[in-house]
Amino acid sequence: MAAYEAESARFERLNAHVMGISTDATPSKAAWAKSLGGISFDLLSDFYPHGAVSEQYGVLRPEGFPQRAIFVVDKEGRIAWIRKYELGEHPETRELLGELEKRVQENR
Amino acid sequence: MTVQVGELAPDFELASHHGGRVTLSRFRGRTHVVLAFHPFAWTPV
Repeated sequence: MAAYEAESARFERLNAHVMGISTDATPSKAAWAKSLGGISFDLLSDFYPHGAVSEQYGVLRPEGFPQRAIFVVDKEGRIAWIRKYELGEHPETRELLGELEKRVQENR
Repeated sequence: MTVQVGELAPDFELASHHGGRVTLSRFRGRTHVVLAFHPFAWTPV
């Protein structure tokens, strides 16, 4: 999330609202955001009912927490892009920004 | 359960660390939304 925060101006320019989602409780996420120097994006808690949204999106692992995964939802509310990651694998912010840039250009 | 490209994104309402709750469908017609699922706060897992 810190990597996305560093690019927050670009996300804003691309008219993209970023949300981080995990099964952590809100107070834990608030403390984490503070430790990272503040996160302007929404960090959302899929805490209760536990992992319900992660399950809905098909990314809840059998251990009870979501795998890393990015879903881009377009302005019409449709899923436009999906990328799922194995444990220990980290998303490339560049790849996501490139995808968003492509969509913005297509919409012009 | 899983979702596919082209489908309507399942709507949800979740609590934000900023306080209050965030509803996905409120962004419809306004902005793209990036949903970044991740295992845990505090860890690089």
